[in-house]
Amino acid sequence: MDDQSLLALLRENPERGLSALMERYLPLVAALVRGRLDGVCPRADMEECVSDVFSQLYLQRNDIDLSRGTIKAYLCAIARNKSADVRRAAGRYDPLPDGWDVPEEDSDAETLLLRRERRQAVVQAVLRLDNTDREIIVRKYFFRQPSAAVAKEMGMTVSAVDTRTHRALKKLRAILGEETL
Amino acid sequence: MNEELYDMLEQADPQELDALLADIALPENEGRLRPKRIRARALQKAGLEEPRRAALFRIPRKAAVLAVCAALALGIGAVAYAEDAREYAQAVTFFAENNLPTEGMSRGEIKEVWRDITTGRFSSGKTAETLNNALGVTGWELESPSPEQVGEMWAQLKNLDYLQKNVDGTGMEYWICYDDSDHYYVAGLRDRATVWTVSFPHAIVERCLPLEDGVIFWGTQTVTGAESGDAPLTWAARITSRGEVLWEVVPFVYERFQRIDTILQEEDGFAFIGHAGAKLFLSHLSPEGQVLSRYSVLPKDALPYSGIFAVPFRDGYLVRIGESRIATLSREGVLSDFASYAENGLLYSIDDMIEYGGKLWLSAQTSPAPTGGNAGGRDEIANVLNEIFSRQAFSIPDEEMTRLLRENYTALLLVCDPEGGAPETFYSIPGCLGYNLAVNENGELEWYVQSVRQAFFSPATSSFTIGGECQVYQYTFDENGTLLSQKDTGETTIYRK
Repeated sequence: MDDQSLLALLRENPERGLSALMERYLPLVAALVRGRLDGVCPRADMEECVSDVFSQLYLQRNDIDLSRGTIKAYLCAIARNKSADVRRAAGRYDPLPDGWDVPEEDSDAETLLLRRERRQAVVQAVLRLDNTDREIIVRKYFFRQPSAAVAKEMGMTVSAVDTRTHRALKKLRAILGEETL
Repeated sequence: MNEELYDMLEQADPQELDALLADIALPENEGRLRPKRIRARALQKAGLEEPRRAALFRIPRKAAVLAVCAALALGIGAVAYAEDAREYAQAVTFFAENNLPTEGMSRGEIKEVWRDITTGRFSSGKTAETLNNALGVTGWELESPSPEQVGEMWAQLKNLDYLQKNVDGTGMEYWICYDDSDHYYVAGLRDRATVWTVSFPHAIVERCLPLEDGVIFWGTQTVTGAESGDAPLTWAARITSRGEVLWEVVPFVYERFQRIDTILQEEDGFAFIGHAGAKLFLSHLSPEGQVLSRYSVLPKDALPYSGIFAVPFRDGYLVRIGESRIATLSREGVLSDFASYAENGLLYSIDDMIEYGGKLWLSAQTSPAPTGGNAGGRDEIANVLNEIFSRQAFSIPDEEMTRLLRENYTALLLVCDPEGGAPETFYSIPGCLGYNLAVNENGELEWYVQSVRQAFFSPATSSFTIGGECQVYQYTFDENGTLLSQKDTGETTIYRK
């Protein structure tokens, strides 16, 4: 079932649509949420968060514009936002070391623009990696899967995953022409 | 590993996410979260009821058994073919990943070149021919190259540390390599022949420090815990010239994203200097690998991800902790600002540091700060790229590219009072990048610079946009700073940005 059909089903037969949506994407959303919340909250809270993601997408089903992104991408975006909410509620901030000042608010238009440019450059750099390296980087840095899980799902050894990650990061630094990554 | 990558991917918009996730198999459900409970809760929150589940189709048991038997029978007969196909697929993937041309090559030749490169032999004439073809566009092709030259061609093409080699006091040469399974191993060679290899499947070997007899390799090792995720630890191993592993050690107190930047050999052992995020680490080890002291330091400003290095200075160390910023670090782990170099409209990068003739000398380079966009964060060559892009042409003659790149850089020899203060420019050479500093056996200061000899624009290459080659020149000074000589060393370096 393609995204158009899935969206149509969500709109016309909500129960079946939402069930079909979860049938397909539950492992994806569960992995995203686990990667961000493991060790932050109990399993039941993670499950609540995953269910929130699906119910949220369902509630927004009439606002979804498939020309702006697939259902998978919408789910990913909702999942990371919901996970961030849970982290925030759990008080999981990395504290600044003693004696450090809180940075000034940098949400002015220029800063946001620079941040967006930077994000686009980094994303483009990841897209220039070969498919295997891109998959490893996305799994480790977006899904936040440990090397062992990446290795299992990609049919590689853990050390191969680590080695390729190391090399992919080197390539990214080279593509970006800098040493900040 | 790095935090910025987490951060940037976290902010990706839906279109970018789709591009990033294209053709990636969705993660499997590892079973820790309960699907039934999640489904029920999602439907409940959406104000819906769970639909009745109906079996869509069922495979008859007998048919399934027959299908498995048929698959097994076919599989046994196809093992040999499958093995060949698997190797060929690996070889083709390798060619594609490394932009190597396969035109006119047979299946056997592709596999031959793949094996020759990945095993580090570089002995096949076909490999030389393939690399020549790949490098041909740069004008670097060689006629009848030796295996060593073919290896160097490969290193040029990849600009990687695959062939990073170093020689100790006994003449043993050390290589960092990785095998077909992507495991790192290190090799000791004499007269270009491998004498021994030691495998470190648990480590990512990054660099090495040759000693009088033997070597220290260092990098990271990964410890994966089910709950904690990945926890890369800094790692180092000392090996004798005979290939005996004397010790392996984790030199620092663990911190996320930690790495070793420099190992210095001292009279009573070794000093390890590294960093993680905002912290700097210093450890002292005995020659036997026993950790004698460990310090962590919190500088007042954030540290860059890489590019940190240290040299001995007085009773402690001098550490470059930013492109143009240096600090002193005492043996007891006390960090003090020493100097920084900045000027409006210019970017500075310090490449090496040495104390000589009662002064501190810095090898550096400068380039104009971006006047337009920063070309995706590549500040150093932003103006060059902006100039090319402004012409709305995606090709530029090599001569023109070389001219633009030479105009972009100036190598600087800076001099500083050892007590601190702003460095002053002592010598500058346009068209060059800074390189190393050394004191020769005559007690003279040697300053090496990299003169951009040729450059080419390569927007389609994944690992760099501008490539080129530099000629290394040596300038010699006496203690009074008088220029004594200047010569071409014959050495070349590869430029990649």
